[in-house]
Amino acid sequence: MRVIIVGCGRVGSHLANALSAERHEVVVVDMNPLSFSRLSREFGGRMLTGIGFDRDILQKADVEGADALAATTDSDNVNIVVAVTAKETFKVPHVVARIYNPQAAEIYRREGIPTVTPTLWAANTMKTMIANPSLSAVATLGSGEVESVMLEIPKGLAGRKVKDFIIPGESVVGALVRRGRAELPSAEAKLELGDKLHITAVVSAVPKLEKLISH
Amino acid sequence: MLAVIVGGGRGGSYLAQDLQSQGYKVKVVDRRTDVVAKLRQEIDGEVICGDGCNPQILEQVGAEKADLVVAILHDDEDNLVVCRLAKHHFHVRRVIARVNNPRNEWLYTKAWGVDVAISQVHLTAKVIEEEIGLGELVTLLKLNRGEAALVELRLPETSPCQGKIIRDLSLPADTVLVSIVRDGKLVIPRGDTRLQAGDEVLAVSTVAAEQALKDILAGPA
Repeated sequence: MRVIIVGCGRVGSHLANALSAERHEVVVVDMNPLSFSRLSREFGGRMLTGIGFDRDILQKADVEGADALAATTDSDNVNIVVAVTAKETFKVPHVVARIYNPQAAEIYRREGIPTVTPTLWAANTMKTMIANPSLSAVATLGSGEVESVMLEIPKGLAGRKVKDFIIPGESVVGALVRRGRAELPSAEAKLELGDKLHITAVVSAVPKLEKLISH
Repeated sequence: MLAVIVGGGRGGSYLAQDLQSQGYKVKVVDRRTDVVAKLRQEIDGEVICGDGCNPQILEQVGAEKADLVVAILHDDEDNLVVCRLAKHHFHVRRVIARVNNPRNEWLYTKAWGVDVAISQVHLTAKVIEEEIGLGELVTLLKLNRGEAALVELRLPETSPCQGKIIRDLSLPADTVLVSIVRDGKLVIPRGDTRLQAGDEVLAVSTVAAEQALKDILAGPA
């Protein structure tokens, strides 16, 4: 794949290194040439110094032949301008922008620009870790609307049924891991001490699950 | 009529006062507290401290009720974001933006929600060019995505329309003379207005008709 990465900060450089290691053709653009020092020694792509939405820079980066573009500068507005220009003007098939402002991210997502909102994601993950300690967060999905959590069944919950953790429209039980073996449990399955239950729930339902567990 | 101005620097402040004198209700948004404090002393309208690129702030300001939104921030990406939100999200009828870096002028299009882009550097360069060159057609403002433009031309001594009245010029259909400045005084052009060398003629013309207009006013090159 031919990928353009605009912004060689922590996220951009990691992304560039990872894609380059998988032998993708990578071009990294940053205003500050010193940022390129974040790239690994093995990085095999190109580096361009300049503004990500400058026409000359985009042309030098061969935007018309690119398969994907990621906008990861520390400015939401630069990322938006770069991503929208790549998608709408140069028809880059896969474009993603990092947007800190959740409201703005939502607007651009509706316009068809996929966005990553690290602020929301981090806040939701931390909230689960702090407020719901008996549930360990496995993954935060989307921009944090849905959490995948893992519950290790303590003594007090042994004998309860899987369906006790299913709240219609709010949570589903994805998998049960018993003695190292995973299965898709029926709703009526009885839980044993040490079972690991994987629950996927909307964020608002996580406190409800927590309550259920502590009772 | 409500005008929302995003960016309260010198340009924004001047524009706010100007629009107010034209009868607009004006709201100015700026995120710098010192600028906001200064603006509150300079203008009568509402001054909001916040980031105009943030959809929430634009909503608070009541952007969806605005007849006009002007983006006059110092970074082009910020102006573009304001324009796009104003046009596509808040459906503002008229969206005007300042181009800061002429290299970015190509981005100021309808797709970004921009109805009129004003490039100060461009404008200044054109004015200087005009001061130097007589008989050159100078673009002052592009209208409707560059389809037409407000253009200016100072009639040279050799102008074929010197001494003629406008009615007799057979101007192209897609052009209209807007004003004439003669010896520092404004003359509203009419069919029987007689042109003189040195007249600064302001016209609106489609791009296609520009050359014909120039040939009539200044003579073929």
